[in-house]
Amino acid sequence: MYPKIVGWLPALALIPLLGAVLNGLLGRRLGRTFVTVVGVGAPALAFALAAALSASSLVHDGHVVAAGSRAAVSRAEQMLSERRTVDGRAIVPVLQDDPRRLDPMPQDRVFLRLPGVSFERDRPLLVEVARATGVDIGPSENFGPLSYQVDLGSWIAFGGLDIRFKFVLDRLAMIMCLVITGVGTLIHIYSSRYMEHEDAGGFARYFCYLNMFVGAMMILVLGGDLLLLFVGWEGVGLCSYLLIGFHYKDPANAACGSKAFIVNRIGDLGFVLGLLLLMTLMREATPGGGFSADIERLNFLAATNALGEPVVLGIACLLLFVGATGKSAQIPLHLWLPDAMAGPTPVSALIHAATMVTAGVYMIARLSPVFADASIAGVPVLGVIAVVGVATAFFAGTAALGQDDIKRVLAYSTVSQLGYMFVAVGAAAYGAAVFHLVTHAFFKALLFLAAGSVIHGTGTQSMREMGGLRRYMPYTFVTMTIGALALSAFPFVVSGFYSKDLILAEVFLRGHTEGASQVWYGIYAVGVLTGAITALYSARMIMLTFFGEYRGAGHPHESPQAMTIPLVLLAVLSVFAAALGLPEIMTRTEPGLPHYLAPIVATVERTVTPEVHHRIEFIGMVVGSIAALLGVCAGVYLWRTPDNPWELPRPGGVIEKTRGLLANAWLYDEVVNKSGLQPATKYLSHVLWRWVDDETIDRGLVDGTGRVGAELSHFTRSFQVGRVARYAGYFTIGAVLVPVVALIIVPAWPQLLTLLRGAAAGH
Amino acid sequence: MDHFPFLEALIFLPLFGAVILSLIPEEETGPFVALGTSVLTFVVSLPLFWLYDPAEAGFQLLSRHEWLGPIGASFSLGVDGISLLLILLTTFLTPIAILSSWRGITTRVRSFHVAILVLEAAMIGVFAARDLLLFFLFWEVMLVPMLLIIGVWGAEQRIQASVKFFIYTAVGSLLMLAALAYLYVIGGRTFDMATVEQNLAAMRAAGDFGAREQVWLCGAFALAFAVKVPLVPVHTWLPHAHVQAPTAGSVILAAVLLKMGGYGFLRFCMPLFPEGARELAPVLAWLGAGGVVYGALMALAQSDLKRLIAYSSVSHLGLVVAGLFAGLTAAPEHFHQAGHARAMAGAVFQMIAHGLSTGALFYLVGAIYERRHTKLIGKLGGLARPAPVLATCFVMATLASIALPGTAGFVGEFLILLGVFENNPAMAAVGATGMVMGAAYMLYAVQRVFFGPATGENDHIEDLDAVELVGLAPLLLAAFALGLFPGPFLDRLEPALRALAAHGG
Repeated sequence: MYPKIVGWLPALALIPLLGAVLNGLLGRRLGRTFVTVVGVGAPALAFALAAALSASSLVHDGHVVAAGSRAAVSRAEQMLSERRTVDGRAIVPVLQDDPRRLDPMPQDRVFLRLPGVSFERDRPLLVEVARATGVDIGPSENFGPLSYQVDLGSWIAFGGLDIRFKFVLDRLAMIMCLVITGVGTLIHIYSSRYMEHEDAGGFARYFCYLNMFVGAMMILVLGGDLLLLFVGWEGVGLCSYLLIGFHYKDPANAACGSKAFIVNRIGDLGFVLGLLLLMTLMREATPGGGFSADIERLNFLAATNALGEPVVLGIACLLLFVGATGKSAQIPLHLWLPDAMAGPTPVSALIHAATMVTAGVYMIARLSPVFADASIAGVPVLGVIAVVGVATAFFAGTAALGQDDIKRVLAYSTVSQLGYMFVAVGAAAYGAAVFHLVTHAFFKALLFLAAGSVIHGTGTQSMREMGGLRRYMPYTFVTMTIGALALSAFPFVVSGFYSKDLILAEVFLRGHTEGASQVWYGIYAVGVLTGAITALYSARMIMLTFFGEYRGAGHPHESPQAMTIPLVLLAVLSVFAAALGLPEIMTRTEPGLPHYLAPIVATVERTVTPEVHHRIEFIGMVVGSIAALLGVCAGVYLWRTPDNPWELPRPGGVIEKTRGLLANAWLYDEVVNKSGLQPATKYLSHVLWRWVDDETIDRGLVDGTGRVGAELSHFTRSFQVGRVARYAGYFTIGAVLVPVVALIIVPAWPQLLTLLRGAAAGH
Repeated sequence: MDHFPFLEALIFLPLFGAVILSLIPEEETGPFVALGTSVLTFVVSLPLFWLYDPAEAGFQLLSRHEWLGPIGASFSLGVDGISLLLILLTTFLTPIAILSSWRGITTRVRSFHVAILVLEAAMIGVFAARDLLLFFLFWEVMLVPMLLIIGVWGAEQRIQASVKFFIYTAVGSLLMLAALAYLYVIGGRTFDMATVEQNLAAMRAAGDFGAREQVWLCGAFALAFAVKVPLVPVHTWLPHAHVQAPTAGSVILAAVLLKMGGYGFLRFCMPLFPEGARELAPVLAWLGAGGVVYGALMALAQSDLKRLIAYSSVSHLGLVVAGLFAGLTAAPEHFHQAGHARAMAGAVFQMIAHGLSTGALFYLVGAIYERRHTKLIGKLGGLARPAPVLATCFVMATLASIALPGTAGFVGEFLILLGVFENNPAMAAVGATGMVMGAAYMLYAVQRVFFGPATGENDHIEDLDAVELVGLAPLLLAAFALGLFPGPFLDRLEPALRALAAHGG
């Protein structure tokens, strides 16, 4: 059995949701202290629970597991119980549920966990037990994707369909939970001061939405069925919508919220269609017709090539990826994220940088076996994802250079960094993708919160009105610089260096795999170039904000401790998260986090020797370091003063035009959305309504028919002229017709009917 | 009959209330008597949910009384899962509709509530009737109070709207009457639905009831039902009716009356004329799927909030019709019967979900209209500041309407899309676009009505009061409860829809 605490798994989602309900219903009345305690307490409690769950054994390495038939396992259990101790340590075998119970493996395969036994040290004993009883013995990770599962019953069931409220915590979900609740708690603390200028109702509403977001994110991460994941997926979208438009009195903010939601829904349309296709495939693959969108089952079927043809999977995966481009702001659906900056800055930090926008990456990692072989017309879907990712990274990185608004710099930077994560996903380097997801969550949350601190201290978001702030806001300055260094992938001292480096190394290795396309080297090259651009805009942001003379109005001031302490903690994390994935050439072991995830994701097998692998890693580090250093140095040099040609371009010159193009993000939003899609829809709907619905159908056909009726009535009215002679005539006609009907037609009706029916049936 | 006559009670309780109400001289007692009667009716209807045995297929709670025996008609009632849920929807919504016009109706208050109660009885009768003539009687009776509600208590152009409503519906009814008469004759000169169904099945088995004949009959019924749904292009009465109707009229119209169409398809077209339904299915299903897009585009173009929601109904119910018929568009060798049943279950569930969410939306538009005396989106704005509760409720109803997961609409839409996908993926792709466009027109409406600065009169409106909340809260709670726990409802639909889906193969 699972440890008792596992029963609390759904509480990871329910605690924040409860917080949202409390704050939503009572917050306004019970005041700020209540709101703060509940609002901050809920994610903190969820974090504590997540930490406790991660500390409990199953998810971790290190345990030895015996698996086999029930009889064999009970023999092994007895044998081990008789030994009682090994080298003086007690052996307490623990039976557990089969974590892969959906697999069509022998139904009676059971698992025996052996706490306190070491696979290396106690090998003689284990070999002896295995030989004597016929069980398989090995470290827990040898036995597949270990996970905790809690099934709260059926949600939608009809016919063979059975969608369940099933929560699954595996290693991937574990990492996400810790990041979401951990960073989430810090951002909630920060918000308690950042939002203090709101009135009581607004304050409660804010924490209600923010808690609801954490709850929805937990459902997204823990949902064991794709449809339950979709509940979270739409739930976070809703919270994002509500929080972007939080200051709804400005119509622009509300419009940005709507835009985010609707663009996301375009992606969700793809997601739903992909989901439906996968479900149909699962139904086909399941004898007896019982099916759902159970993620574990989908992955198992895909891993055993039982789900469907690569082409069909390719279509499904491409559709799911459309969903990911919406949620994670990738080309072509990236256009909502910069506008999402209309929300309060802590919201940008939590939702639009650290957590929600990574949901697309998470979803694909979650379904890695399904994506593994999917291809359309010989083009692997993962390859498409990598190309879209690197294109987005480059495109958004350059756009960040053209922004004056400090939050929009960070927004484009987020789009760009998400692009890197998709590059890693495309290379099937899920470990690297998730590693960058984690480091990015730390340093981008840090950058946003620091930007929020700057905005809080100066009252503006425009970097043109900042400058010299390092003297006024020392904590903010130091921590934000650390964040910017991490973003720039500054060599060796920050986590961002290692995570981005790992992605690029994996891409290069992917190109080195047998039969791989040359395109991977192109992706690598653009990735390196974008790295340099990243460093450049990061340096520009720091220089314009903190160096030179203060150019704004009023007296900037450092933010209160509730805001600076989260900054300091996130800065520490941004540095030390490097420990999660130091490269093999430095540690002589596989990077920690990718190693931890390896058993549960479908990666591409490497065909290079360790020597070549290490050489690629080394060269990659050198190249990456040079790119970052070049970018940082160029940035510091160019923006040593704000009066440079980029910031104050000659009117009409090339620089001004380029800047304008970048400031508007290559005009994509303007051309495709604002002057393409939106007016087209508006025009179409108005024309259809005015001319088809109203004029043709309603007035033309319907009222036209009515007019025919009116004419008819006019005609019949002409019979009723009031002259008795005419009426007498009508009477005579009637007197003849009625008996004919009554005496001839009615009795002969059945025969007539047979005739009629014969005619109708075409005889 | 060994049970309490629940169905009879449900039909006669509102009628009894209507009689009492017309005997009481005081105008102001109208709302109270009507509310009391309809709440009592709801309470009486509740046990049906548990009395109905979901494990057993076929009609239950059957009862039969002598009525026009010589011509083969009888007063026979009974429910299957489909009519059970729709009856509960009716009894649940009528008290809410009464509350929605609690203060909006100021003239002839008593007559208004008499009309509402008669309407309720007729609606329940339509769902419970097991006799063709009785069904038609209730079907026609239903028309009269609705016509009066729009024509007497409606807005400025109420007469045109009610005439349009009447003519549309009457044309449909006439065709249905002709088809009923024909059925009566060939079906063994009885109006008993079970007998007619058996006789027709026997004739089909013997080859005496061919596809061509079925197409004509099915088509005659289908037109009457398509008008009710309403299916594009016979939908143009709906925006007029909604814009002119008083709030209670709109709530009942959207929540229950439109469901008559879907119910009719399930009750008549599919089981009586399976081959005819298969022939007509491509037309009906594609009109439905196309209507999803068309209705949504229409909604995008509207400046009147009520008209916008009316067109959203066209869009939502288009998906329902697509769900009902998509399975029959598949070639027989690709037909997936369980998928067809799923799509139909989704359609019925979506009818209920739409009743809850759109009922709530019309309820709230009524509340806005009472305060601002306008429904024009351009004249509203910033209402969230003076009326946060109203705004919150409207946003929640919007979320239910755009089928956010966790609301009933999601369960319905998901089952429809899944079932349609299983038989006709292209149609599912067209129908699913409603997800995007629904979000677009609803969120733009919310944005323009509730967000932005509140100017002038908009800044001084009062928030929802207790009476309004009492009426609204059950709708919103039900919309979310059905979204999270649809199980007991789907269980009750399963036997009936499985049997229907078996006709399709």
